Parts: sequence; C-alpha cells; structure tokens
Amino acid sequence: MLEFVELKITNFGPYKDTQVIKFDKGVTIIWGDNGRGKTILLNAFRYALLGIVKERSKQKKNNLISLCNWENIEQGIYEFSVQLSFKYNGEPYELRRKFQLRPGIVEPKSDNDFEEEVFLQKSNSIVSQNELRQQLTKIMPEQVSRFFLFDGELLSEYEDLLDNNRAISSKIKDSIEKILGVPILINALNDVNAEYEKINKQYLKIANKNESNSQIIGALESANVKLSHLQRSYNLYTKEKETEIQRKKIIEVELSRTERVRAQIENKNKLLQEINSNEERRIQLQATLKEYSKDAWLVLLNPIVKEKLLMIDKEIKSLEHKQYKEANITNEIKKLSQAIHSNLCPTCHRDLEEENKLEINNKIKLLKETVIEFTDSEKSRLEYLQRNKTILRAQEVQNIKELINNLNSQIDDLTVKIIDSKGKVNEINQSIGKPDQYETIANLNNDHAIIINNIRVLDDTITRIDRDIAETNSNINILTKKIDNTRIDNELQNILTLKESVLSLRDLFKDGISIYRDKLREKVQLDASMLFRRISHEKDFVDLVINDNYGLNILYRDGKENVNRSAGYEHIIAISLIGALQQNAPLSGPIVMDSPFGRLDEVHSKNISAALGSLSHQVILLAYEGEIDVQFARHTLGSGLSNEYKLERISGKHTKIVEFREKT
Amino acid sequence: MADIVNIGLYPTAHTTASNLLDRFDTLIDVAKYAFAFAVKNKVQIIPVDISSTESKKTVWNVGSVDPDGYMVSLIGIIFNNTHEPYKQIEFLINAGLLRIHEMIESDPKFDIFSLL
Amino acid sequence: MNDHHNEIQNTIEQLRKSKYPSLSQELVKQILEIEINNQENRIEANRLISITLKKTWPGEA
Repeated sequence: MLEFVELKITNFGPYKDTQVIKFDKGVTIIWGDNGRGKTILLNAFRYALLGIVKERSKQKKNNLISLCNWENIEQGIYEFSVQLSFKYNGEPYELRRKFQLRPGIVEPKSDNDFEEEVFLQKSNSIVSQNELRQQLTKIMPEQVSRFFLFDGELLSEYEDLLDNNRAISSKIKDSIEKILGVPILINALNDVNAEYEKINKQYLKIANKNESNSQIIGALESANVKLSHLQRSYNLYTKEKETEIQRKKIIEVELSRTERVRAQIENKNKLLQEINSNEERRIQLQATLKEYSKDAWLVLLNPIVKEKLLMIDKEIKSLEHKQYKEANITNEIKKLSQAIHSNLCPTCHRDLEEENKLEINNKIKLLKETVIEFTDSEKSRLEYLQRNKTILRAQEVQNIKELINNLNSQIDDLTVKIIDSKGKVNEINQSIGKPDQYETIANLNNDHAIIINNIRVLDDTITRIDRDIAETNSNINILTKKIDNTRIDNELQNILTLKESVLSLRDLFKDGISIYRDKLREKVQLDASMLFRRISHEKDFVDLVINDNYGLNILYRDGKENVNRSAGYEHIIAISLIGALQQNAPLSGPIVMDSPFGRLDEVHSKNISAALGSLSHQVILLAYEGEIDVQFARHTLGSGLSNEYKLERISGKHTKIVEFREKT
Repeated sequence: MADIVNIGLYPTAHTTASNLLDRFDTLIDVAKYAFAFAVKNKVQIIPVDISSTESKKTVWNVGSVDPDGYMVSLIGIIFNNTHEPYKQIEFLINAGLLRIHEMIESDPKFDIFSLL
Repeated sequence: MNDHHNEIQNTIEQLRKSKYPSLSQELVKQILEIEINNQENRIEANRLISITLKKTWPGEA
C-alpha cells in the first residue's frame, strides 16, 4: 500500500522557493481558483513518481522548461525540484527529483539543455540508481498511474475504454489488469510453460538414450515439432479470424448506417433500368409513327378531296348525260335519214310509201330541233374532270387517324413516365449526396462479402488444423506409450511424471486466468455499481455493467443499457471505476483528483464529496471553492477531512500554499 | 415571271418544322402536313401574317417536295388556279407552319395530330 | 502478502482442488509466491520457478 506523507516543491511552476504540503490518511483538500496552479500540483506528483508531466492536450510533452518557476526565469534562474515522502508497505521512502541546467548552459532552448538528478532513500539506505527505476515502477507503474493521478478534464481517456475496437482500449485494459494482479497469473503460466518445454526436451534426450527408442524418439521429435507448428498456425489463424470478425462487425455497423442510402441506390438503379427500357420502346413507337405520319398530309386532305370528288362526279354525271342524249338523238336522225335514202323502212325493211317518207322527214325535222349540241369545250371539260378524278382517287388513303393518335398517345404516356422517373432519380441523387458515396458503399458490400468468405476459409483452415492437432497429439500419445512400454528405467519414469505434473500446472494456470479475470470483473462491477449508486442521483440508473475492457455502461431499471450518456455521468462512472479498482487492487494508493467536479451539478458534486473517503485510504482533492460546497464538504467528511490548504495568489506568476486548517 | 424551282421556309416556319421532327421522319413530311393543313383551311381565312422583312431559307428543290406532281394538280383542282403553282405551294407550306407555330405558342400542350 | 494476493492464491487453490487434485498444494503456492514477489523482475521469477520445479524431480508429485 502506498501512502503519501509530504510533498515539498521548490521553484516548481508558480510555486516559488520551497513549499510544503503534508498528508495524512483520509481526505486532503487543496483549494485554488482557476489558474492558480492546481493542475501543476497534480503534475508535481506525476513528475516525482514518473519523471514526466502531462499537458491538457493529452500528450506527454517533455517540456519541463515550462515548469521552472516563472518569476525565476525572468531572473535567469532555471531549476526546480520535487521531493515526495511516502510510505510503501509500511516502509518510509524519500524520493527527490531535481531538474537543473547542464554545466555550461546559460539560456536553455529545450529540455535537452537540462539534466535530472533522481534520488531515492528507502528507510535509512540510499537505493542505487539501477534499482531505483525498478522500485519506482513497482510502486507506481506508469500505465497504471492514470487511475491514481486523475485529471477531471481528461475524461475522454476513459471513454476509450468503452470502445472495444480501439487499440488504446486494450492498453488501458492491460493497465487495469495490471492493477488487479492478472499479470501474476499470466507470468506464472508463461514461466511454467517455458519449464515444460525444457522438461520435454530433457525427456526426449533421456528417452533417446535407450537405443530401441531412438527411432520412436525421432518420430516423436518430428511429431512435437509438427505439433508446435500446428499450434502456432492455429493461434495465428484464430487471431486472424478474430480480426476479420471485428472488421466484419465494423463494416456491418457501417452497412446498417448506409442501409438507407443503399436502398435508395437500388431504387435508383431500378428506375434507370425502367427509363432505359421506356426510352427504347418510345424510340420504336416514334419510328412507327414516323412511317405512318408520312401519309398524314393525305389524311388531312381527305375531307377536302372527298368533297371535291363529289362535285366532280356530279358534273361528270351531268355532262355524260348530255353527251349520251345527243348521241342518241344523232343516231336516230342518222337511222331515219338512212331510211329515206334507202327507201326502206328501218323497222320492217319494206319499201317506204310517200306518206311514210313524209312522216320520217317530219320526225327528222323534229329531232333536229330538239338536239342540244355537246360542245367541244364540254367534251374537253368532261375529259378534264375525268382526269382530275383519276388523280384525286389515286391518292386516296385509308383513314389512319386513329392509328396515328394511338401511337401518339402511347408516346406521350411513355414520355411522362420517363420524365417522372428521371425526376425521382434526381431526388434520390440529391438526397444521397456525393456520388463517390456509391463507390464507398459498393466497396463496403464488396469488402463484407470478401470478409465473410475469408472467415469461412479461415474456419475451414482452423478446423483442418484442429483435426491435424488432434491427430498429431494422438500420434504423440501412441509413440509416447510405445516408449513408455519398452524398457523403462527410473530416470525416464521420473521425468515422465514431472512432465505430466508440469503439464497439469500449465493447464491449472491457464484455467485460473480466465476464472480470476471473470471474478475480478464481477467484483469491480459490483464495487463500481455500489459507488455509482451512492453518487448518482438518478433513480432509474440501477447498476453498472462491465465489458471486456473494463468499460462500464449504465443499466436502467428495465434492464436496458444507457448508450448515450452525458459528460457528467462519464465523470461519475470514471470515479466509480477508480474507487472499485482501488478496492480490488493489490496495488492501492492515494488518489489525487484535479477538478473532478467540473461537469457535475450540485447534487452529484455533494454525493461525490460524501463518497470521497470510500474511494481510497488517502484522497487528495484539488478544487476551486465554487466547484463544491465548502461547508458541506467539511461537514460531511468530518474527521475524514485530514488537511485543508489554499493556493494564495501572490502575483500572476507566484502562488503560495497556505495551510487552511489544522488537522483535528 | 416563271414559277420558282426551290421551296424556301421562313425562319420561324423552319424552326417550327424542325421542332416536329420527333413525330415526322423528314422536314418534307412536316412541310406536306402543313401544306395539307393550309389547303384544308383554305388559307384565305387563316389569319397569317407573313412578314416580308424575314428572308426565306432555301430548303428544297421542287422535285423533292412533289415528285409526282400531285401537289401541283391539287392546287389546280382545289383552287382552280394553275398560275405559278410552286409559288402557291411554298406560300401554303409557310402559312401552314406559321399557323401551327401560333397554335403551339398559345397552347403548350398542343398536339400536332389533333389537326387530323 | 496482501488481500489481493490472497485472493489469487485462493482462486487457484480452489481450482486445483476441484480440477487438478494430483498437483501439490505446496508447489502451486510456492510458484504463485515467486510470481507475486518478482512481478517486475521476470528473469529472476523464471529462474526461481525453474529451481522450484527441479526440486520436485525426481519423483515428487
């Protein structure tokens, strides 16, 4: 257990000269307004234990020059030191780091112009430089320090824990498991495994001494080598498969996000196909229409031509009638004249009497009076009309009006459909946005299919290797039995027994790791939930649920997990986790918190103030007076509040640490 | 004066005819349709204003438009006028097209085959 | 040894009893102690484990 006793800082940041803060068990509050140097105090602890400081930009910047006291810099004095007195597992330590200019440097440009002196005293003896780093790493490993030196503004680090896919989350997970002691078991497994391999080799060597065994040994050695390879391959492919599965998950999330867009693209493709086929059909219809419309002018002329033909027919009829009449009369006259001339009756063919002749002449005279001449011009007219009639009739066409109209309206319908579809396509294009999205989405689909195939192939491979491993193991067993069944001497028997027990040991630790991990996670979850319930004000948040990376999610009363939570609750969860880790860790130490209440409302701030004592045996709180209720904190913590300090402004570059209240 | 040997279209008439090429195969087919329309409506009563300041664009030789002489015969038969038939034909084609142009302008949904 | 280390020891002991009873309780305890005390010095841990296991040779099950 780590316990701070005293922090002595000299010319560090705004802290000019030497200033001291003493710590006891319980809660120490250091009050300071913004800009007075609270975060720099947190960095003082960090610098003492780890030799680094952290800027708020989340990066470790080795810009230690900036920590030289600012007033001193103006006078050309560049150096600072931090001395931390603490107890570790009951033993007193003193750790001092001094940062000063290298000999010969007057005005430094970077950290390289400085040298650092580190000094660690354990009880009354000085720890050698070699051992120093080891000791400090044991007391406060860097990976783990984020759970003890807690900056309320760096909560996003904690959010990383929730995202299983981020590389950093496994680093944080490793940090947590380190606090929780899992590496002890992992190391045990690895060490035992290393021993197993040594023993196995020895076993084979001994067995080989027995000549009759040497052939079998040879085969056994090959089988073991093969088994090694197979196991390596198995692990490799299994890991690859896990990677692919992760990738598949990520893509599936992307696909579901883009589902709407994909559906729209599918729709658009369908519409484009429709447009295409409609346009083709329209072209066909237009071609047919154009064939028929060649005669449209004749159809248009039909009525007028018909009308004209009627008129022409009427006139022709009248003329023909006249012509016919004249022809008839002329024939009759001719016939009668012939009769007079031949003196024969045209009817009975007897000789004509005088009175008959007279009659005939009278008739001829009458007929000549009644005949109307069919003139030449009338003849011409008739011919003209007959010609015209022929001309007009030659161009008579069927009435294709309906056919044309039908084609026309089909074309119009298709045009409307095409315009509609194009409009829909435009709408889709606008709502989808960038055209390069299509490519991305097409690629996503592609990648998804490829990954699924990869997983299938890997599965097959893994199954095959598994089978091979089983077969090889079985071979090894058979061969081993063969060796065992031949002249077995004591030495061989002994090493065989040892081999078997080391194997069991290996399996024991292997199983142990997962059981312990589960146990720990459960405990961390339980403890974090308890703390959480103490701090949280929301009745419907009943528990915290832990994931594989020790990320915590809030559980509602109805059993559902809260996925969207506020920065404030992020705070509370982070604090709950820290408290839970402290309670479950073999490495427990003081928690130093800088502005942990930043995003919390009054109720939650009060709840955390009240819970401070249960987070760790020693809590150091850096806060400003507006952040938490001073009186409430004092009242609630009672005797748990061991010290209070205040950061007083001397100038903009000089802060003095003043004891606010004597401990009771 | 001898009859014309080439048939020309006024710019507006030409444009109107060109715009109808989605329904007709060739400009001649459109011209004939317009001619028929003009004849049907006996152009004297068609209120067409052919601006004499526009100049015609020569498009066709008369033989291409009326290879079998039917149009000429028609002019003679319908209008009893055989004087400068191609000039009349040209006039009727332009008159028809310009009237069609007016109808299209006044009704965007005008269907050319509604004249049938 | 602190509470948490006890926790590890207990978990492993329970597992040993139920699944690997032929393993020596003392041996397992020793191995864990070595690991706990040498978390930062892997080489030393490895060496000590080796020695411990060799002590069980010959014949100690």
